[in-house]
Amino acid sequence: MLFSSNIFLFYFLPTILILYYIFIKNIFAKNMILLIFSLVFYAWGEPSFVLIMLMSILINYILGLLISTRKKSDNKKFESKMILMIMIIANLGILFVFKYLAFTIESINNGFGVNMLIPKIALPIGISFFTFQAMSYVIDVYREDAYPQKNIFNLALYISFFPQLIAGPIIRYQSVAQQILYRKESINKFSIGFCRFITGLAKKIIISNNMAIVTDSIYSFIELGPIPVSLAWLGSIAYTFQIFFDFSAYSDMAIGLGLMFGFKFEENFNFPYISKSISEFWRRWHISLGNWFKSYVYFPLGGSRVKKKDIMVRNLLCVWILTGIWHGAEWNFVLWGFLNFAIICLEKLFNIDQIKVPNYIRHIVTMFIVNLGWVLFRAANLNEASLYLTSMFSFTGVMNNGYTFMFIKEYLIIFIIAIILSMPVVKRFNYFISKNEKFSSILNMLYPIWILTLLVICISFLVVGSYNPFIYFNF
Amino acid sequence: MKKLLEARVTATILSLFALIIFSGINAYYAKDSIMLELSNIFNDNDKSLKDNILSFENIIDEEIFMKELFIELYGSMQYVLDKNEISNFSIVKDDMGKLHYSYFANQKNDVSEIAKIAIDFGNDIEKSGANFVYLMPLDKEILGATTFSYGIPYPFRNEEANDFLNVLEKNEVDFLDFRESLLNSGIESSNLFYDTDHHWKTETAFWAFTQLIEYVNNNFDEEIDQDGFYRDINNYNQIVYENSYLGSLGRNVGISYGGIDDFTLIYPKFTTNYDFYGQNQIMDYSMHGSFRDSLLSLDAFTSEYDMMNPKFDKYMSYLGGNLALVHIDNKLVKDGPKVLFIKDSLMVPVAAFFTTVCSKVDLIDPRHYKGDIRKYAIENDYDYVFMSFSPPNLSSDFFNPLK
Repeated sequence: MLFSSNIFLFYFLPTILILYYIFIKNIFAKNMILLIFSLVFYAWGEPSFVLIMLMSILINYILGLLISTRKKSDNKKFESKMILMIMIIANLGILFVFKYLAFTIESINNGFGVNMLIPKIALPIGISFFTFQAMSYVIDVYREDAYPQKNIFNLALYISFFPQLIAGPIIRYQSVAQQILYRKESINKFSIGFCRFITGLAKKIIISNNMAIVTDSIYSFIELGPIPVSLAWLGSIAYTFQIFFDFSAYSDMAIGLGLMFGFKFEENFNFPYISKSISEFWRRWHISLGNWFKSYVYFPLGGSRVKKKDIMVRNLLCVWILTGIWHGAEWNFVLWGFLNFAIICLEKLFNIDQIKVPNYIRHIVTMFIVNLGWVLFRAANLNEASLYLTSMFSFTGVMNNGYTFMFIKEYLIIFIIAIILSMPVVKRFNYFISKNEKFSSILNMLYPIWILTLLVICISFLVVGSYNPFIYFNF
Repeated sequence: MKKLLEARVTATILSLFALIIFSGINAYYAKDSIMLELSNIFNDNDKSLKDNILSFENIIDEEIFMKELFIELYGSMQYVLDKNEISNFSIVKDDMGKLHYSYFANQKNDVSEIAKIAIDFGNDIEKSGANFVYLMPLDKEILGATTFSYGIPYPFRNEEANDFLNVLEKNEVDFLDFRESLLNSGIESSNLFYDTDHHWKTETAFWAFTQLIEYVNNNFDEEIDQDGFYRDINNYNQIVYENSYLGSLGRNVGISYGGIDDFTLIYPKFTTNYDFYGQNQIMDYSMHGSFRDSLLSLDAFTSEYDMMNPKFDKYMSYLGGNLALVHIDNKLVKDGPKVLFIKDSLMVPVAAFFTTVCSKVDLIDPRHYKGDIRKYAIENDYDYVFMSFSPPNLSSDFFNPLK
């Protein structure tokens, strides 16, 4: 089920809110309501996939308990380590079978000229998210950063909680373990969450979906052959906005919904397009994924605080290849991960923060690299990515055609809004206004109208069935 | 900060209250359809759970309380943004403000395969003793008249229609291209089609009917309507319903974006008497009497009809719209030709007017008719078999059932 759908907005959300707040005093009932609705939410798109998630919950629940019992006795540390290994193999095994098996066999076929049968396995939506969360639970228990869950329903709620189930943020178990049992709802928390949800919904429906029309149209042209330079650049820029406003909108909606049910999730985006280096970009983009890899891969490997720089490079390479492949089972994702690795490595090795270069140049260079990275990310495969990049830089070919002008003309206002909202303009405006009591009170008076207007606009887009793509099938 | 928090609380109370109340009313509004769909789900074991969920969600998406108001709001926003495309380029607006279905095409499609289907079909019909003629209606994108703002996608429909007719010509298949005599129609190019619908106006359909008689008389030595009585528009009632029609395109974007059309209902003043039989996928029915009583359904012209409801599309009031099979006997013209139209929706009002000079007129819509069309056309002893699919419908959806 999508947040940006009529069924979610008019049926699912009101029902769960009413039921949840009827049982506000009973934590067990509240958690069970959230769990049942989360399973329905997940099953809505493809009912059979819910079994895979339930299997993942059961396996990790048992392994978490086994680890915790062995951790208590000193002579069973080896056993607990073995169980941790089993957990990693089991989780990554499930992920491999559903996400990477077909890709691996296809790559072997292509690389070695063999003809092994490629299995047709449908990818369960959000498998990368819930697998990482499940692993986070067992690792946190192993590290004694969190207590094991004795109640399987509570663990099931953590892994399957619908707000962040299909597009994140990836919640580390230690950050919500307490909240599952001891969270407190309040009118303030609820209000902040609701307004955040509506804002996220508007970002998705008004900005991202419109940018998606430009992107998807232009990327459909590349399937037929090279396209004019201006069109290729426009498509890549449109995708740069689309993915930011889509992904950050999902995070806004997830964080907002979490607050409405008393949960506080970590922020996932912090204006990444104002970054002045790729390292900074990754501190601002999909923060929860970065933190996950840092906590569970990069730091255990030694991180940056290693004696030899080649070890740091190896650690970075591991993290970025994994980050690339996590996003999708295709070579373009591996290359995209490698691109980020290469740039971050160079930034670290040459200590780029210390080099005196004007900020605007840093920003332009960073966005140029990010934009090229998104071309690799958006393309269906390496061939398409290569064709697209060739179109972007074939300055001897056709520079322009009517489509470029038409897309700009038709979507100019959306582009302008996207540029403005990519920067912390509103945040600074609010800060400035808050100092002026007169303006501040006028804006505060208009704020409820603004939120209601956004809601009505979103509904009107949903009701007419406007373009509403879901871009996380690869995850 | 405290005041901002208070504003958020107010915003939440206001918006959430509105959302929950609307959701409640909406659920009540959709309850019958939802219950019907649920009972279908529980009674129909053939569909997978996933398919059942999909069809249930379709019902939810269709049955929205005050849907037309939201469509208007959406259309208004597109109007304010000065958009010439809407719904991911599925609808575009031309410089005259007319709406068109559209898509991106970098070149024209190859129509030789479907032309071959038409040729084979026509040859079989000719062998059976009937005359076969392909009728090519106008495309809403009138060559030389319709213009779009720079860069709006152009789907090459007229070019494909030209290619299609070229293949027919090479294979000596008779055809009538309505686009050729368009300039002599006396109708302004801006008045040929509805602004909010992809169909031609009833006035244009009437003109096409007169062209068809002329073509048959000239090419097959017929003497249909020698004195021009049936082709004289003055012998027909023309009732103009001003600002009363929203076509399929207009229903998607609302009046504020696409405008609203006048609709002219045309039917004979002279005495007529028909037996009408119509069949669709789920039912069949008969009607008897004058043109008005048997060939028109007037539900869409009653005062309380809903313009946004496709069931009350005025264009579809002729011959029941796109029925799978229609059989009409003209009880007053016993010696007129017997005709079969294999057609899309543009030919429906033309066929309705053509019944006035025929003894028998049948219509088959290949999208809906499940029987063997070729067999039907050969076995029913027609004088003329007309095949007519408009330029946007030169596709396998329409031609494959004729193989």
